[in-house]
This record gives sequence, structure tokens and C-alpha cells, in this order.
Amino acid sequence: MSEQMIIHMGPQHPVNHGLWTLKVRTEGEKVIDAEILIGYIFRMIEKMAESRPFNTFQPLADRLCYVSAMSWEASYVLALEKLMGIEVSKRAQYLRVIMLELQRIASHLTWLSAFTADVGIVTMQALTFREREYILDLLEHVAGSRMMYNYFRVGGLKHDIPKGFEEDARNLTHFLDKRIGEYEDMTEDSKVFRLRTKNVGILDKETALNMGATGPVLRASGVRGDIRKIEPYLVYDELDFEVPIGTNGDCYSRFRVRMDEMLQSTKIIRQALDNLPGEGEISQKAPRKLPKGEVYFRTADPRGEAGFYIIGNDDKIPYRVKIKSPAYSNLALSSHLLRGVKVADIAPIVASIDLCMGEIDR
Amino acid sequence: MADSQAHLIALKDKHINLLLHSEMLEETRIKIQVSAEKLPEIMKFIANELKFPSLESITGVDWETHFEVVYHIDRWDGDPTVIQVHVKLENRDKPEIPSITSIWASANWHERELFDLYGIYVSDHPNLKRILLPEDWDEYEHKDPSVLYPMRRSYKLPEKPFSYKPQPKK
Repeated sequence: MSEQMIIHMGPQHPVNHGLWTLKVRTEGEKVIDAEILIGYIFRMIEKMAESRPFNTFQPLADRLCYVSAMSWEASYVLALEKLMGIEVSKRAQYLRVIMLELQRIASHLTWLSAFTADVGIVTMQALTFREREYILDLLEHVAGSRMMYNYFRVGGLKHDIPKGFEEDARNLTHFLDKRIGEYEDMTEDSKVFRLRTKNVGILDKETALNMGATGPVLRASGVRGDIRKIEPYLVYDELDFEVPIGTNGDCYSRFRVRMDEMLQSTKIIRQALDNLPGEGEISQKAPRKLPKGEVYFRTADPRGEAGFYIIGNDDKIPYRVKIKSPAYSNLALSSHLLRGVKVADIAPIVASIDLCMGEIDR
Repeated sequence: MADSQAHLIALKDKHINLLLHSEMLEETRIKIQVSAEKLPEIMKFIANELKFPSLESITGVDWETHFEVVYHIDRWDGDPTVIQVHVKLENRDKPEIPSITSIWASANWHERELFDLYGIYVSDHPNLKRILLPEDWDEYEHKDPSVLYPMRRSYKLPEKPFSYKPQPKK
């Protein structure tokens, strides 16, 4: 029995990708216990949502996650629309799907950059950011901002897409397909990558469900859990795509699931561009007040199930807004994953969860 | 839709005397209300008999006169049903609710958040301490409960709600 030692990783540590502390108790190279401390950037976003008119909170919903802003404003807007009972036009819905899937790819590319850098393929770190920038350019062309879009509106979108967007988006998806294939070659051919990710941080199916895993972490454990299929919103039920799942539940499966998801997303974007109706109201009038009632709306965020539980009280200010963050649930179970692993495995395990402190601390 | 109805019927069959209120909110949302003492019993039934494997979120709501805790439970095998369990806590000065961490491990952090931001004491919790606010928040100079638990309604944001309305020129 050797001596035990407590290592503080964070709040600023290369492994963390954000401000949080990982307190690991080690015995030699083995992790005995791991404790997670969060709350460094707690901003009370829920309280802010409950103290201002619902439409003025939307730019703040963007800031829940700086990597996938579009999906968070979508979750918020869609929850409000469900509460108000608004149905937007088909064209607006298809455009929303296109934006959300572009955002999903951009988010996964950011994750890929961090993940590969953590397991030792530092070349990829810059390469994925190059492709991500193409997507951000496209979204900037549409919304006017690189990262904080504020493009969705209750009742539709801020404005129509610019000229030439459809062609650009289609070209980009073909380009991305090619590049994602290259990334697969670069990672899977690397022996270091395989050694550091296969059979590391295994999460079995029952534990994953019980500990509240969502998104790619849950799917890598073999559960076909995707809100886009279970409870389709927007026009996802009209589109043909698959939900990739893993079998092993290790870091490699999580990597595989996200890579396959990116390819599915490009497929969805192309289909949505094919089916995009030429006519349709982009922005329709929305009521000024939230009706009395409650709604729990779930969307498939790049990180998992994002939920908004909104209670309206016949006022323009919502009575209660609860944000269910997928990264929060996934981080909570990572202390379970870290128990019993080697210190060197902490980096791939934490990176494979895909954290975003903006939405965890809220 | 039929599935969701079936879950509610199964709940009513077994535990009709525990349900204070039950209804279908939408096609796939079941809303039930139980008392705090009977919460673990009904949650065990939902987890083990109805086979809802994952707890998604726990929400605290401050209704000025009382607190309410809302649990969202769902399943991932293609069934879109979400069971929404409401628990009313009448005692405003000393709100207390039993922990369900032994049923769903994911409840751990959500219950800590409830304690942290609403001051709702969760009994039998394995590690009940503040999560988002600093651990020594109570020892700071302010002792007012509204500041100790900032998500309560009595806590007001210092800023005015922002408005896009153009101001009239003088």
C-alpha cells in the first residue's frame, strides 16, 4: 500500500477545457477517487430569464454554450413556440434544420480538435479548426455573427438566407465529407490514438442510463437515444438519417459516434436543401405574452438532450425557466468513469465527454 | 400516444391512493403530483416497474407561498413519454424532500443544485453541499435567506430588465 496523494487539476488545466477543478486522489499511478468542483462561471442565467421579457432573453440563450449557440437558442425558441402553440412555415423549419446541423458539425469539430490534441495528435488541433471556420463563415453570412448568432425568432427566423447560400452550403457538405474521411484516416491509423482510446473509460449501458448520460456518451454505450428520432421536432421526421451507436462505451466508441454523426449531419443538410420549399413565411407575428401553462421541451443538442422547462404565467416575463444542460449530466458521471483508471487516462476520458462550461455553470 | 396513456393507467392502477393529482399535459407528458413522504415509493415504482431508466432534471419552483419540486423522467427506447412528478412543499421556512439518489444516480447533482439555489434540504443525500455557489457562501457577510438562496423569488437582480423600446427624445 503506497502513499495516497491528492492532485488538483484546475481550475485552469489543459485537460479541463474550461474552468472547473478535478480533485483526484491517487495511489501511485492509479486514481482512487475523483471529485469535481464547478461553479466558477456561474452567472444565474435562469434567474436572468425569469426577470426579463422572453424575447430579450434569447441573445443570452446563445451564450449558454459558446460552441453551439445556435442549438441553444433553438431549444429556447422551440420551447416557447410549443408553449404558445405557434406553427412556423415549412421553409423556416427547413432552414432551421440546416442551421442546426451546420452548428452540430462545427461543435463536433471543436470537440475533435480538443480530443485529438489531448490524446497526442496535435496536428489535428489546427486542421479541424480550419474546417470549422468555413462553417462559421457560412453562418456569419446568414446571421451576421461568427459565434453568437441570435438568428432564430419566436415565429420563424430573423431574415431569409442570403443569395447563393444554398449552393455554398451544398458545396461545403461535400467538402466536409471528404475532410472528415481524411480525419478518420489520420486518427484511426495512429497506433497512439488507438492505444489511448480503446477500452479506456468504459461506461456500460445500465450505468449510463442510471447516471443520466445523454447524447454521444449515451449512444456510445449502445442506447439508440436521439430526440430527433424519439420525439421529432421541426421536420426531422421527414428526413432520412440514421442514429449511429457504439458498442463498447469506451472513448473510442464516443469518438466513432461523433464522427458518424457529422457524416449524418451533412446528409441531413443536403436533404434539407433538396426539399427546401421556395415559398413560405420566414417570420410571423408572435403573441406578446406567454400563456398560462408549462412545457418541457427537449432537443438534440450536439452534447445530448437539451431541455427547457418553462412555466408561463400570462405575462411577458416567464415565471420559471429551467435549463437542462446535457454537459452537466455528462460531467456528473465522469467522476464515476475516472475511478480506478491510470492518471494518464484522465485526459482522454474527460475530453471524450465534450464539456462546455458555459452551460454547466449556467 | 397510446403508450403514454398506458403508463398513466398503470400508475393509477397501482398507486391511486398516493396520487394527489394526475393528468395528461400533452400527448406524451404525464403530470402527477405526490406528497414528499411518498416520493421514494412512487419513484421506485416508476424506475423498476414502469422501466423509466433515466432522470433528466429536477427543477425547483418558488410559488411565493410554497415551493414545488418537479422531476422529469424519461426513457430512451423510442418511447417519447416524459413523466413529470410534482411535489408540493408547504413548509416555507424548512422545506425538506427525500433524496432519490439511490434510485437514479443522476439525481445527485440536481439535488445539490436544489439545495444550493433554493435552500430545499434533501434528506438522506450522500453528499449534500453547495455546488454552483462557493462552499463558504453562508459564512459571507450577508445572512438574508434571499441572498443565501438566490433562485428564490425574493432575490431580485440588481439591474433593471433590459428593454429594446426606444426612449422618447427630450
